[in-house]
Amino acid sequence: MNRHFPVLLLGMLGLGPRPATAQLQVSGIRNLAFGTVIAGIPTTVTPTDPSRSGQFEFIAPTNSTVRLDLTLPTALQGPSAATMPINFGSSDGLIVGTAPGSVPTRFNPKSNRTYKLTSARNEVFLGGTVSPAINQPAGSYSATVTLTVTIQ
Amino acid sequence: MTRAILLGLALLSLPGRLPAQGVLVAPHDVIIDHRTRSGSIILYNPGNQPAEVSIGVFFGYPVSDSSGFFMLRTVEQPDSTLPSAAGWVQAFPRRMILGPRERQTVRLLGRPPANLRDGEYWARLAITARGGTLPVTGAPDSGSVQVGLSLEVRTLIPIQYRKGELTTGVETSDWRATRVGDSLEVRGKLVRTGTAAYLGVVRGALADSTGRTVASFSSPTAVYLNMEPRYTVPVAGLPAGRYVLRVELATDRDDLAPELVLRAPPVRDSLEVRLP
Repeated sequence: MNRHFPVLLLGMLGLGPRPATAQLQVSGIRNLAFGTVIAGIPTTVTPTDPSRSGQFEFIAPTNSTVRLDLTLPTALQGPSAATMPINFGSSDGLIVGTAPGSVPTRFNPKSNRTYKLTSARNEVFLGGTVSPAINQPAGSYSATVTLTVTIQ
Repeated sequence: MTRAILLGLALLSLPGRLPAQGVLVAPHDVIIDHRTRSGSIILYNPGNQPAEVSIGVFFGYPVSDSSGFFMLRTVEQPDSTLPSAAGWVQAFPRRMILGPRERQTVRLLGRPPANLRDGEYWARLAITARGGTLPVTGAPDSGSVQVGLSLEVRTLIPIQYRKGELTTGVETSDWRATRVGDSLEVRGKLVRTGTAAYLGVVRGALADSTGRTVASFSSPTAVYLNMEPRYTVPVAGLPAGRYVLRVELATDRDDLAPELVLRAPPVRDSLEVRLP
């Protein structure tokens, strides 16, 4: 058998040496969905909520150091210029890698974070609390959350 | 700990994930040579929804904050003392809709002033991707209040524009280590030498009194001007005693194309560490 065959096979399976130029992928997976809320009653979604928490994913070379910045709104925009306050608590962020042994870490989404990556693929979850007023106009309220990933 | 791991596994194995709205960027560092004045990146939409992508160029370079974490120092209107390429490196196209699993090459073209001196000039590329409008769940006509936040992602990667023969290197000093929990926090001063950013790797090895390596770290590190970064070494379970931490800075980056890496001789230092 050709002595290079095992190397070729690994390469075909995508298990070969890492390419010289690595890539970076950042994606929004799931929006932060509060759904229907009741006027006058604050509603909280925790970052561990399996269906309503916001979810981002980023893929970067293992061992690299990246900085994460979340740009968060303070209010949601609704019908006829109505607004609704939204707040993010100090443990409303959660990051977890996909490598074996990765431990989920809670973080303050209002603070910047620098991570030394032990997993190539990483997930960031986001929770928050909205506080509709007692006389909150009916309708849809929305805003945008931005995750910025900076590589050194 | 077990609870945390189970939580992580549960979060990652959730059914019904929505299609990703983002973009893959390759490479993650763009180096442009003055002789060709051009470079490129490839964008790829891995999701099954269109992504609206915009590209911006601004001036910034990494520094370390007071805790040793890296941050981007940005200057909106860089003056002539800063080696900025932000004013004359342009991306084509700057806006695009990337269809599902569609790929797009973005050309980067340098249009420097005619009297540009030899040296390295820096900029940052901001790639912003938005998905289609995400529906706010709930019945729209029920007189109820529905709330949802859509997601946007931004990727910031470096651009280095090089003119002429350039050199790089790093001087290091003031290494110290502090035990924090089950880790050793290691910091040292790094000052770039030469005429271009130092793109290297910092490696550390903690050896016991017999010379056996008992813990280590390795971290790609970029020194544009100077840095005082923080590294961590896991020391849980190590017996109290004296150890030696050996630190090496080298330019053998395996995440960058070898022909683009400016080589410099390895730099080494060491310090004695006492673990309580």
